[in-house]
Amino acid sequence: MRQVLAAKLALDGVAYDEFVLKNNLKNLLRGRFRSLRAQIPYKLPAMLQSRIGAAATAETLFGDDAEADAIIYCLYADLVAERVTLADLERVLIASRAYDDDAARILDLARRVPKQDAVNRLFIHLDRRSAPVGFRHYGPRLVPVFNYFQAALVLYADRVLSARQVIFVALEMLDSGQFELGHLATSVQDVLRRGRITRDVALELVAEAREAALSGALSGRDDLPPFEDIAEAFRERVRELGPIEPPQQEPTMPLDYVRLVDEEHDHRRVRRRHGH
Amino acid sequence: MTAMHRIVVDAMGGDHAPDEIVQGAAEASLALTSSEIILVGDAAALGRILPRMRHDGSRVRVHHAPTFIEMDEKPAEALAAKPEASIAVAADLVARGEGDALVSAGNTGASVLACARRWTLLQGVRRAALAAVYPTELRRGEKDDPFSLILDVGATIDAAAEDLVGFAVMGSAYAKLVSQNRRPRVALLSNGTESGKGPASIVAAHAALVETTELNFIGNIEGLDIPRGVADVVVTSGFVGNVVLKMLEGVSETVVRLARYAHKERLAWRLGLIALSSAIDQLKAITDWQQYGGAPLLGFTNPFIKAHGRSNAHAVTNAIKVAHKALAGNLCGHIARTMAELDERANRRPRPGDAAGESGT
Repeated sequence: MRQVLAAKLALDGVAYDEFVLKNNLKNLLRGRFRSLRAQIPYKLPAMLQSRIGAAATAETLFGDDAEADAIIYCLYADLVAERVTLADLERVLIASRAYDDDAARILDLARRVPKQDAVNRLFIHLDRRSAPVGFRHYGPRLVPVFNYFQAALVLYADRVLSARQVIFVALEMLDSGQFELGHLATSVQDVLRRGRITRDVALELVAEAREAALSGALSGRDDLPPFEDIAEAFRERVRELGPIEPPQQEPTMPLDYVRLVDEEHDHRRVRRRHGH
Repeated sequence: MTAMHRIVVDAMGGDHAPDEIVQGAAEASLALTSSEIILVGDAAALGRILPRMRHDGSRVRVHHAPTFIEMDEKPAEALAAKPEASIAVAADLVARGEGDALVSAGNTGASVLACARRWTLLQGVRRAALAAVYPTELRRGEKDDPFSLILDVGATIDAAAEDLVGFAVMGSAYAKLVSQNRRPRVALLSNGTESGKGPASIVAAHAALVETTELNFIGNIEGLDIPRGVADVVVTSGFVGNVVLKMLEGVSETVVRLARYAHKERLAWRLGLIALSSAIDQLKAITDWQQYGGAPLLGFTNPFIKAHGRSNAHAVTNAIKVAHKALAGNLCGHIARTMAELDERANRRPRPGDAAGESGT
């Protein structure tokens, strides 16, 4: 599997520092069946270990709604920011049914990890098309997205990406054949409606994207309409919302991770029962 | 990538709007990956409801409309008083080419009027027709569809022979596409099965329809043949169609009321009904209008699917799927082509004067 994934990443021109895979064969041979499905005892130590190896001052995390990424990423963010204590973490590990040796290793990593409020943004890609409102309690730092163009828009609002880089993300998505310009314009409206970017940011992006287009960001893209037509379509999607103001984001409240883990186990049981 | 169909949905129309309409649209966005759904209505309300549903956020968008027309408002007056009502804005979007089809569960009169005032009739079509579906004894088409189509049920009051021929063409094209009925049986509703029976418009329409090869015209039928399912497409004027439809609905309601009365009144009757309950449930399942989704307004360059006013999310999803099917199957194009063929044949037919001219040469 590793070789296949490495070849695919190389083919796509993706450079990476590391990637971690769960060794389920080893879990099977050792009779650690809980580890086959376990999420927190597998992903959390991998992230902590990675940060110990090369601590970044700012991190953006990407996950999906297929498993417990939202819980794990928030827990990681709160651990490195010292908003979650080791005693809290121990309770979470018991709730997540971690084996004792795994729990001890995770607690050790959590003790040693460089502490800093480093995670600025968490994205959950809605692979299963989960209702976005289901992630509201994680607070405004976690953004459920239907596609990576929406992630790029939020990162533009965060001043992490430039308009030119947002254009490059958009072009990649168009080239994938799964999206048309209309989908991207509708995606802008969706994040705007959910209050994840503001109307001013959307319009600012259009203005800056024009400059980027003039300086060659769209050169050689004769398959696309003129930039002004694209910009107008995007502006129109914003106008379609009328005079309403998007909802205010609720402030981040301390998360009850033990309850979240229990709920995730319940959801997983329901999904299994329904064959999802 | 296939062409994206843009289906405009009046999110504020219907007894259970906007919640059930939004949920139906959300479900449709997951099922119809080659369509974009445009929800028209109060953007603030829709923006609150949509994130509660599983949906595809890159395929559902919102278009703000500040007001809406209530189910019991008078159509013309309401449209005049509320030019920015959701159904008016939705019909406008399609008229401007920003949408390809319209779905509404709202006030029928206002919906039809909003489309009639803004949309263009297909070439060769003199009048649009509103269709309705009615459950019958017989099933039809590849889908085993238990519903027959009746049109017109009220888009216009009167209909000339040419209009009735147009209705037959439109109804047949719709039944072919939506019920997957390769050769739907088309009939004129009259007061007798003989070709000479009925008012002049029916007699003339009969004469024109027997000449057509494009349609499977089976002649005239009487009212009692409708629930029997003798025809797949029943053609009539808007006035008669509306009276017939309401009478059929009234009969159904009376049967249900009588059954309730019987259930309460005598133990023997109650036992009889209980014995029949599984058959009644099966009958309900096959004639469930929520499965069908909606009925079309035919004759315009864009399809309009009118969902039942009491539509729940499931019915709305199905109505959107019907709209998608109409677009994907180019329903309007088929109607226009058949109308053009009929027109061409009518022009080729020798007129009495032409024959005299030939003998003179």
